[in-house]
Amino acid sequence: MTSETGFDVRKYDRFPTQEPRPDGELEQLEAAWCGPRRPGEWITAINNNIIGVYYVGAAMLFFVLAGVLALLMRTQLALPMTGFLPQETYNQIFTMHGTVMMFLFAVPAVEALGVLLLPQMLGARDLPFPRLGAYAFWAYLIGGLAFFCSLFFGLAPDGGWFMYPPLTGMTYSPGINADFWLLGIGFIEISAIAGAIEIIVGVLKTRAPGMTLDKLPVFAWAMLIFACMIIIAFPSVILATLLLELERALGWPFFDPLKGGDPMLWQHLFWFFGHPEVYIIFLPAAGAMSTIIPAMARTKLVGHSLVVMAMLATGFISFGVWAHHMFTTGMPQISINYFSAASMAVSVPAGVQVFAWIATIAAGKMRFSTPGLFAVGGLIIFVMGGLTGVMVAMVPFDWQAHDSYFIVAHLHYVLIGGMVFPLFAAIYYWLPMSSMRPLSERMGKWIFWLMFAGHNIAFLPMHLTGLMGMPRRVYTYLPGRGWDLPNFISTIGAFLFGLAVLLWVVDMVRNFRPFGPREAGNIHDGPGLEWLPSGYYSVRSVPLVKSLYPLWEQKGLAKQVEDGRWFLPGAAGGERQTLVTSPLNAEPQYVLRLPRPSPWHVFGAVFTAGFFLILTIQAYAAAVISGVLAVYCIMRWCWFLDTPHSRQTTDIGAGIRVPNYVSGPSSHGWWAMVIVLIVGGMVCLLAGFSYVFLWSRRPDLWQAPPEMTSMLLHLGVLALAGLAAMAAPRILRRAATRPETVATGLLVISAAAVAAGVGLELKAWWSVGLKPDVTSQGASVFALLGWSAAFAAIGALMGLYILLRRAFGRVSAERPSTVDLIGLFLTYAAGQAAAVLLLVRVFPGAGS
Amino acid sequence: MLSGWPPPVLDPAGPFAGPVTVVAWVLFVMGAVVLAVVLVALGVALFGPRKWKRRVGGERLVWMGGLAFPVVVLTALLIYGLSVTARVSDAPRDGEMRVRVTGEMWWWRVAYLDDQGRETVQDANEVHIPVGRPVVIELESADVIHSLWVPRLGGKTDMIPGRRNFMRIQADAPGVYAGQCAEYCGGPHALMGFVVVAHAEADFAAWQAKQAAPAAPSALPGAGVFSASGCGACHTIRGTEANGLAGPDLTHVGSRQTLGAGILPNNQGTMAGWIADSQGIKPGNRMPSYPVLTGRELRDLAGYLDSLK
Amino acid sequence: MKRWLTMTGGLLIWAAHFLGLYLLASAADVWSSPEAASGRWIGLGFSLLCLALVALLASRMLRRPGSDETVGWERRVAVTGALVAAIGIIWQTAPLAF
Repeated sequence: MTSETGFDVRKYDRFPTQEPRPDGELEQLEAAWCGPRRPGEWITAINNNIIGVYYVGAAMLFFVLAGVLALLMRTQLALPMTGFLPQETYNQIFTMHGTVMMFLFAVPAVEALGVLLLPQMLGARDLPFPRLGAYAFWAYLIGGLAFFCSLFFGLAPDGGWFMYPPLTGMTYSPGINADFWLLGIGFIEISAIAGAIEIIVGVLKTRAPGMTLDKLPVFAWAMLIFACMIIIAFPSVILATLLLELERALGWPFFDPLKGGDPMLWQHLFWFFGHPEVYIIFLPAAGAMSTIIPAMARTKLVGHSLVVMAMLATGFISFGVWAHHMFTTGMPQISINYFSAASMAVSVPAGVQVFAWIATIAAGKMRFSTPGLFAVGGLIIFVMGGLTGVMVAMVPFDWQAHDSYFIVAHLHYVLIGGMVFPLFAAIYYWLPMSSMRPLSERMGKWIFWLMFAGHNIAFLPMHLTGLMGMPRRVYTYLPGRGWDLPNFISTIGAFLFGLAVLLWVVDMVRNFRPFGPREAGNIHDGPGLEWLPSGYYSVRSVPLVKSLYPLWEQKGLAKQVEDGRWFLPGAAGGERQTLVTSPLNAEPQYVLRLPRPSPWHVFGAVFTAGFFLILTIQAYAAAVISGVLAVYCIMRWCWFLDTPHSRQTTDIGAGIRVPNYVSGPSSHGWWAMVIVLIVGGMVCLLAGFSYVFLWSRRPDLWQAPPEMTSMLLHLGVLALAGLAAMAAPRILRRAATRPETVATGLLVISAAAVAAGVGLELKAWWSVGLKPDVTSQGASVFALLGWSAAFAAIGALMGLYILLRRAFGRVSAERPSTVDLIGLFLTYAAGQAAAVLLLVRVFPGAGS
Repeated sequence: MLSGWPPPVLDPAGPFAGPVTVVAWVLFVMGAVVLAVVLVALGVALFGPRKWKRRVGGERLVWMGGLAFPVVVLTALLIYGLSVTARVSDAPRDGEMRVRVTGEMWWWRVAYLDDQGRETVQDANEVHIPVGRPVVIELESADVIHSLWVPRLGGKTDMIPGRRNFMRIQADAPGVYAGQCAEYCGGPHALMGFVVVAHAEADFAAWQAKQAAPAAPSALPGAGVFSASGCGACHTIRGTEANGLAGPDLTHVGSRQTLGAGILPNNQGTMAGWIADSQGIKPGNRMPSYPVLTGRELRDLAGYLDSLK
Repeated sequence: MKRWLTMTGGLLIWAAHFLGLYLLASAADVWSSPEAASGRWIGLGFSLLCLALVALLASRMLRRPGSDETVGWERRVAVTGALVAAIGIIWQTAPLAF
């Protein structure tokens, strides 16, 4: 294997080191990574061991809450024409059940599992952006709880979790209920994307040395693909929610057919996110299955490369199936057939994984402890859901099954078998690692069997109810159609499932009690690095990984790690540090100084949540104050980034020294910024798609663009902005005199030029009479330009920030990261604005 | 016979539902076989003798079970599915009978179209068709998205504002076929039913002729209650002053199968109940309750409407 | 980056193929009839091109030197991924015949 970074891999032979470790090294490490000592520090904490547990706990709280809603619904549907829940309440409850389960439970739960487990699995001390992770968690918790509470005021959304307009438009949903949905989703968008950045950079850049791609744990692979899928899929729902809110608040007609909008646009955007979403949820759970099953069977995963390939293939193909939610909308038959074919193709990788699990069980000897039971039970349920999935991928059958209880059965089989059971397996498997205590095996078995039976009793009859003609999302049904009996059975099953969850809650409370002994150790004899002895600092020293199953195959590893015989055995200078390695071969590159707890990200989250919440209840002045405070807190948080280092390099063991600071494309900050920009670019791309889509519906509404000379002028201004932004980092590194001032000046000029370019273009369209609330052209042109303007506004804040940093002497040629990243952002903002401008000016030609 | 059995989807009554039922059975058999294969493999893996386990516990199983087997099954299914899709969906042709059904919150406006596509007879909440002939349904929406589904006659198709969709239905035997709105449309979506009534060819012609005629002048006291209560602001009774367009056309309401869009049987008693308490029966629907009417007025009104055969 | 691209190359071609066919059908829906024969022939040609690309990629991967554990593993992922992509492309082409 050739080196990726020029690092001499022969240096690995120096490990494990033999000489005694210096006195006080462990104490310094423990001091640097000490846990919360005062109550307030439990809130400002950023360590993934703490935030990860909070995160899992919050996700499970929403699971229980949404489950209670499910029981209310099943009570209402137990008999025909019951009056247990009024119609309006039922419609709110089923909307909340779906929304909370999908957005506030499923995605955060798997993301939480990643936050909790990944650093340990990868041999990192923490994720690369711990404060970002904590910020995402707090925004999610506050926003999610506020969203859920809307139910108690009768203000919960009632348009279904899919929120199809025009039902959810201002005409048919005049209350603020629908706005609460858009709000709730806004939080999960923020936290999902922040989490995805953490996970991508974490998996690619903070692995233990030697952990090449073939030795990367399957769960980490799954989380990597999961995070990449979030980056591609979530922009679609971000855009959709923005457009719907623009239509609701300002009357911009994206979905209103009277003014050239089209309700189908929402469906395309929503499902381009919504179907990959299912796989976004499933993949990490499948990764957990591929980790837990080999551990419980005490053997290697059979077909490891096939499983990883299958997860990659799922990631790709799941983006080609969105319209299978739209088979009944009258799309052209050939397009429908493409989606049908892709929907079948996506089941192939799922089959590969299922048979790899079965082969693994056969190759070893399965232990029937609770994680094993949940894994096997999940497998069976998932296969049944997959088979009904193939059925509804067949277009003629879907015409019958679509929007009937058959689909309700199908999706619960897939999601409960593919995600909930694996999640419970994961909780029972990994919890001893976090709480240092195993969960009760006896209760675990009861919980499993109740849940397995309850699930099948609840959802198996629903296949039949659907074939009997019962549509979904009905608050009641008429007697005499034979729907009574299967519905009653389903209700019994649902309550058995509920009982299982109740028992589990009891077991969890028992487990996290703050007294009693805590020393579980590696009770499952797991093979991954997460089973190494650890503290808040994760492992004492980061081992060289030579196998996919290091604890099984690298003898004596636990002891060597604990004795500090591997990489980064201390906390030099009392700093929190983690090792950054190269993305493919995991060769050591530099040491990343991690931040310490601070309140600013918590305040930032509170005010961000406050901004959106207050905006929803239309107290605009208070919302603006909250928004300004949020920006201030986030700037305070960023202020302490990129500060001077006391040393240039750190000894990571055996005399190997790596730098403490890296800028440019190999730095973690650069990667994070690139990912953010990909998200922005995807939103913009999909907005461009929406523009073309709306044009294709009503080309007659399209008016001519402003005269062309203005376009050249505006493009020129944007080109200037791009050039200035690109020049700034170079000047900072090379200029002989006052590089900091010149670079800062260039960035400020660039930010101003982006704003000027976008502003002039907006003015040009306004002055030729295009209005955003009159036609779909106006709405989509102003939406595209508005997106560019939002980037210009953020660019302006960055300009202000760099000016302030310059004024306080915090811009330095030795530490160019801040300038690099702002330059990168502004270059992108200018390029994006130019692309938008070209699209709206040149397509579809000078009016038609 | 157990009510609800056989399930309507598996009990087709026409050529646009029949092939789909065959597809459904093929899929169920496929599903059962695949599930059996998986369960047997899993059973061997968990409990099988060592020799069997060794045969199952290798990458060969992943290749055979996870790749080759699904590819063969799915290729066959895909081709079969594509051919059935092509067979049961076909663009409307000239000369086919057309009915326009417009979804409204929470009922169905029905109009029969002539050869030029003009609306002739108006009706609501039920479509009458002759047996043995395909009928093209033009699907439109007046407000939000609805979806028309009559399981025994075929799959569902959505009604989307700003668009016009088509579906074909055909019944092979006279009868009443129940359907329901399948796309969540807010409020009492659960109570938005529909029926298709299939007649023998001659009966259909007679029904059509009767339906086209205006209501005969009526001396019943209920006619007075109808106009005095302002019912005509929302409802049309052809041949009278009532010409409202917001609600269903009532010219021949007495001849309909159901009331309240497929949810109540149609007789004088249910009619009176519906008028007095439509909001209690179907909360949120657009027809206000009329608790102000006296028992006598209600009886008269119901009697009058029931007489509009 | 090159190693990532070769590992996921087959699947990337699948994605390009899917997008191409979808755009072709949508364009045909706007400008002519989605059932038009010309669109179907173009689609078929595009499918064959994509299949050839997948085959080329797989054969190059198979012939690439290197017996290292990691390189071999990445090769297996690339080649099996190309196989799944090829199946997907063939299935995606089937609707053109109906």
